[in-house]
Amino acid sequence: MESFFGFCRRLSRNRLAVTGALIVAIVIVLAAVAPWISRYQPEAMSLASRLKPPCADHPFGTDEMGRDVLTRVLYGARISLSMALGGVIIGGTIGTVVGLVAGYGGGRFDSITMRIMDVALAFPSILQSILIITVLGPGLQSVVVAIAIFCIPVYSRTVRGAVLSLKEMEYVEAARAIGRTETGIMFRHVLPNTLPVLIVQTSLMLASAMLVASSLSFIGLGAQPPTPEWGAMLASSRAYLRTAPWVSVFPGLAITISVLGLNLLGDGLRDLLDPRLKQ
Amino acid sequence: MGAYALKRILQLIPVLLAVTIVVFTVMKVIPGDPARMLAGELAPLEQVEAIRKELFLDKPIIVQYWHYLSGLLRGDLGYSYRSKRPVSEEIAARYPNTVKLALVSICIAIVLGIGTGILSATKQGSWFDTVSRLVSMLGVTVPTFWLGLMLMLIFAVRLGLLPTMYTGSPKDIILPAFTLGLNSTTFIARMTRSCMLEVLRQDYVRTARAKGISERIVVLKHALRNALPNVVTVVGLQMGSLLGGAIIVESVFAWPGIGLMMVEAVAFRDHPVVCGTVLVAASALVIVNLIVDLLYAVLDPRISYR
Repeated sequence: MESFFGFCRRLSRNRLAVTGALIVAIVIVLAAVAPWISRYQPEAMSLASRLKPPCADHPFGTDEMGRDVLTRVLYGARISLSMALGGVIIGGTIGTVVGLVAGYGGGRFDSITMRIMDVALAFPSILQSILIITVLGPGLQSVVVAIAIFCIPVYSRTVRGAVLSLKEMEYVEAARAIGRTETGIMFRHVLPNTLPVLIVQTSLMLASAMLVASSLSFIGLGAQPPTPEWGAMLASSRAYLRTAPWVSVFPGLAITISVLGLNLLGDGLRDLLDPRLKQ
Repeated sequence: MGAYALKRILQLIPVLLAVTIVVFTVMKVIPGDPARMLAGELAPLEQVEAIRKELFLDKPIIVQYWHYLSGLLRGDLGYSYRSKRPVSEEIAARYPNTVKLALVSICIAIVLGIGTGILSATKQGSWFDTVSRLVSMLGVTVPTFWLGLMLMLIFAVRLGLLPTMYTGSPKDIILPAFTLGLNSTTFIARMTRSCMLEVLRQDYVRTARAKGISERIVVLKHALRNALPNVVTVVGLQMGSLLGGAIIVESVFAWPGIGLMMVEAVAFRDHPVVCGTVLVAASALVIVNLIVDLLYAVLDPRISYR
């Protein structure tokens, strides 16, 4: 297997992946150092300075409550990233295990779970999320659960596909010949080899998850005011589109740049790790 | 072809049944008593019990599902908690608006997407190709609701050319349809470009050119026809994202379709309306996918023999 440094060297030669990784790294760093960059609190209101256009004190202007838009965009990155990451980690883990067991074990479990996944995939992610939020009620946790649930069929289908070819490899046969248990082979030999597919899938799913999370907050089903979440900020900015367009511009740009970074990184990683998927 | 169509239609039944099971399960796990919600907070217990009996809520779950399913076949989706009217009537009043929006959007996406894809492929490496590929990349990253707000800011607020919200005028559909269609345009353009590039390298295209056939006919008649099956698949897949996107776009522009109805129903905890609209939207998607599959077989007859 290629060393980590060898992979990094190849990665650094892929312009798409490098640009994507840089954008994602900048977003993460900005989210982490938000309290040091901004001297305002994201939820601190100042009615005296409401709807101020961008100026030296407020580079992105202020919103209808006099809150600094730059501060809210920076803190918003923390919420948007955590929602997307939380949902993808939970859904990805469950989906990977289901796909691994279904693909490796085959039989009735495989056919039943894959039919269930087909039904889940028949629902667009936003419809699925709305159904889940109807049951759980609006809020950040519900969005994380909704993202996790729409990730499960995607991961299980992808991992199952990879496992079906991996389980026919000679090293699996060799492991069986030296007396390894089937569970041991599945988790110690097959699972690590699905890593390239998982890495690519995760970067692309994070982008979709961010879009779904912000869409849900925009329609009032995700983060609730005054939480500084990008979709929720855009929802409350709609009423001021005519008088204060900057309140709508910056959170949207933040979503677009983050999703662009994740997509570029995902595409670049896919070209490196799984060139068959390029088409 | 007939046997293939019949097989695909029969395959539709279990999927639709599964969709009803999902929606029914969600209705059952939603907290709260549907009979109490319909009767009202202050209604006497006898009235609540009467409604419970009428809706078969006192029966075992399998019996309830059977009544739900037979009700669906008669077009009965239950009653709205808010308006107390049948959900099917409310959906019937607003569904045509969503269909209109989706159709106009997909038409925009097909015309712009295929047109851009063909031009990009025939002028590979030109500035047009570079710009269209850049726009395609951005098109999949820009959130639909933000794109809608920005188009509204430019064309409605700044230039005053179009209305910001639904007013009943024919001009109302332009901004929502473009917002909804632009994302699909980028996918269709990407697929058309890559399929056309592949087809344009084939021997029969070279032969057609060697025979002296004009470039326009080579591209539109010989190459496009063979690139079309893959493009149709993407168009079909886009119908799913259009449906999802319609929920958001309808909310941005207050477009009175079932997407906006669904969002309002979630906010008002009007669960029968949420489940009814989700069921209709998911079933519509499954049926659209079937139509795309059949169309695919018409465009590429080898499919029906596999």
